[in-house]
Amino acid sequence: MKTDIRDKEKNIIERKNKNKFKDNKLSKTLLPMLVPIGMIFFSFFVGAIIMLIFGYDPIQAYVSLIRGAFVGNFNITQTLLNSVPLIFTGLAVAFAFRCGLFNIGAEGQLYLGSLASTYIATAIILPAILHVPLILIAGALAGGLWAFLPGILKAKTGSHEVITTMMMSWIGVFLSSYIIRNILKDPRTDLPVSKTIYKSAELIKIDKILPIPALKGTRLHIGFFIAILTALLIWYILKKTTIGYEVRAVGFNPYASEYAGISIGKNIILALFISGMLAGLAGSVEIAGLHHKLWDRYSAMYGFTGIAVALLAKNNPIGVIFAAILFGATQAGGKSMQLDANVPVDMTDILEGIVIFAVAAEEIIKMFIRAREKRRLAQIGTT
Amino acid sequence: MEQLKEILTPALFAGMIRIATPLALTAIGGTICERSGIVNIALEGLILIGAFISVVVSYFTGSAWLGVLGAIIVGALFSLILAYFSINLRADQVVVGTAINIFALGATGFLTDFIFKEAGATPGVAGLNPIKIPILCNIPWIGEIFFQQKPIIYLTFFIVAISQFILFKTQIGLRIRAVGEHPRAADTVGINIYKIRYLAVTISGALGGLAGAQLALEEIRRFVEYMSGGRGFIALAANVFGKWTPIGSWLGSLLFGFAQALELRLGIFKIPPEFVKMIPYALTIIVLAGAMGRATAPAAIGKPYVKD
Repeated sequence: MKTDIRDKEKNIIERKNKNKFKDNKLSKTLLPMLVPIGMIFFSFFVGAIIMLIFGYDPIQAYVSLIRGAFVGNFNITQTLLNSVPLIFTGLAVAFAFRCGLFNIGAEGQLYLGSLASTYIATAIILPAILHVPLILIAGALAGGLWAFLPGILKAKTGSHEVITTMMMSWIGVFLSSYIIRNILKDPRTDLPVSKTIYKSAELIKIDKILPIPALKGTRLHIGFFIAILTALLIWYILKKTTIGYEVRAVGFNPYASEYAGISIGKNIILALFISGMLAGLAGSVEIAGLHHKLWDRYSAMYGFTGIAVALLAKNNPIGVIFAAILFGATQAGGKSMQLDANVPVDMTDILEGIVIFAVAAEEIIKMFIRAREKRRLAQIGTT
Repeated sequence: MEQLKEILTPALFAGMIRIATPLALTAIGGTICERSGIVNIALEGLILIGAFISVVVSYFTGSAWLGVLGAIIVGALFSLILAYFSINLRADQVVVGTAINIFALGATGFLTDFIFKEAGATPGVAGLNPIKIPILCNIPWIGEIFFQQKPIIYLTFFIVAISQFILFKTQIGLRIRAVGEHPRAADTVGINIYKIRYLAVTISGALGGLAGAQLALEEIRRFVEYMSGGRGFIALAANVFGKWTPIGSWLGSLLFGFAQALELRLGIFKIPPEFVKMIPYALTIIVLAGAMGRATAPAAIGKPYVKD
C-alpha cells in the first residue's frame, strides 16, 4: 500500500516537473518574442499620441501605412526590397554586439562594400556563375577591412570602437564619393554615378526563377534569399561553432574568457571583421540586385537603421529578419502615410527613435527584475 | 609662393574661425559631458534641435537673441533625456544617444512640415549680424580675422576660456573630473554623482543648442532639414583630438575649420575636396592609434554608476 502511495506521489511530482519543463521551454521561445512585439506596439502607441497632439488622425495614418507596406504586390515587394540591406546591416550590428562591441560605422562599411562590388562588376566580364560570387566576396572583404582597423585599434590600444568605427565610417563615405566621381564615373553623364554594371554581375530577379504570379514584373531579387540565408548562417556560427562560442564568451565576460584561454584581442578583431563583412554585403547586394550602378550617397541611412534593427531583434539573427522587414515596411508605408493621411514622412524616423528608446528602457525593466530576484535570494539566504 | 599668398588671406582665417565655432561649442559640451563619465553620441541631434528652435523662436518673435536663448534652454532640456536614461535608468548611453539623433532628425522634419507647411526648409528669419569691435577691428590682419565676427563667435572665445578654467581650476571642475574617473571614490568623499552628471549633461545640451543657433542664425538664417550635416560627429572627433580638454577641443575645431575653409580655395592645388573632408576623422584615428602621445578617455566613461 505504502509503496503504492509513494509511487503515486512520485508520479505526480514527475508530471509536475514535466509541466514545469514544458512551461519553461514555452516561455523560453515565446517570451523573447513577446517583448519586442510589446515594444513595437508601445512605440506605435506613443506615435499615435504624438499624431493626436498635432491634430493628425493616427488611425487613418496607420491604416495607410499598413496599406502602403503590405497591400498589393508592388507594396509588398517594396517592403521586402527595403528590408534586404537592413537585414545585412542589422546582422552586422548584432554580431558585433554579441562580442560586446558597438559597430556604429556600418554605413561606411556598406559604402566600401558597394565600391568593391561596383568595381568588380564594371571592370571585368565573367560568366555569371563566377561573377556574382566574386562580387559578393569582394564587397564582404572590403567592408570587413573597413572594420578591421577599429578592431586592431581596440585590441592594441583600447580605443573605443564607437569612436573609431564612426570616424572610419565618415572616411568611407567621403572616399566612396571621391571614387564614384573620379574613378568609377559614368562618362556619359555629369551626375555623380558609376557606370552600369555588366549583366553577368546582376542578381537574378525572383520572377525569373520562381513562377509566382504575384511577383511577375517586380524588382524583388534573390538578394532577399541571400540575406535570409546569411541570417541563418550567422545564427549557426553563433550558436553551433567554436568561433561563435568564443565571440559570445568575450562579449559576455571578457576577463573570465581570457582566464579560460580565449583571446580577447583576437575575438574583438574577428567579430568586427565579420561585422564589417556583413555591412559590406549590404552594399554588394544593393548594387548587384537593385540599383545596378553606384550613386553617390545612395544609402538611406541603412547603417544607422541597422542599429535599431539589431536592438529590436535583441541581437538574434533570426529576429533581425523580422525587425528588418518591420523597418522596411514603415519606410515603404511612410510615403503613403504622407499622401493619404497628410502625416509628414518624418514620422517614420520618430517611430524608429521611440523604438530605440523603448529598447534602452527595456534593459532597465530587466535589471529591476534581476535586482529584486537578488534581494529575494539574499532574504532566503538570511532566514 | 604667389599662389600661397593668394590663399593665405585674412578672409581664410576668418572663415576658419567661423566654421570652427559650432564645432568648438559642441566639442566643449561633449568634453564636459564625457569628463563626467557620460558618452554623448547625441551631440548631432542636439545641434539640430538647437538650430530648429532658434529659427522657430526668431520667426515668431522677430528676435534672434530670443531664438538663441530658446535654443540653449531647449537644448539643455532635451539633453535631460540622455541624462535620465543613462544616469537614473542606467541604459546604454550609446543606444540612447543614437535614439536621440534619429528622434531629433524625425522631430525637426516633422515640425518643419507641421509649423511652416513646407517640407525640408523654413522661411528665412531674423539672424545675428556681425559686430565690429571698435579700434581693434582696424588692426591689419588680426582685426579682420578676430574682430569683425558675429556675436556667438565672440561668445565662444569666452566659453573656451571659462570652461577650461572651470574644468581644471575650480572645485566643481575637479568634481566633474573625479566623477568621470573614479565615481566610487568621489561618492565616498560625499560628492553627489547623479547631480554632477546631470549638470554636465545639461551643459553639453545647452552648448549643443547654442551651436545649432549659431549655425542657423549666423550662417544661413533659416532651418534646413539635417542642417547639422555631421557636425556633431566632427565635434566628437575634436573632443578626442583635444584629449578631453576645452582648449584642445577648440584647437581641434580650429584645425578642422581651417581644413574646410581651405577646401573652398584648394582648386588651385587640385586636392580633391573629399580628402579635405576626411581630415578630421583621419586625424582622430591617428591620435587614437597613439601616434601623438596617449589619448585616454575618462576611466568611468560609459559606465552607469550604481550607488550601494
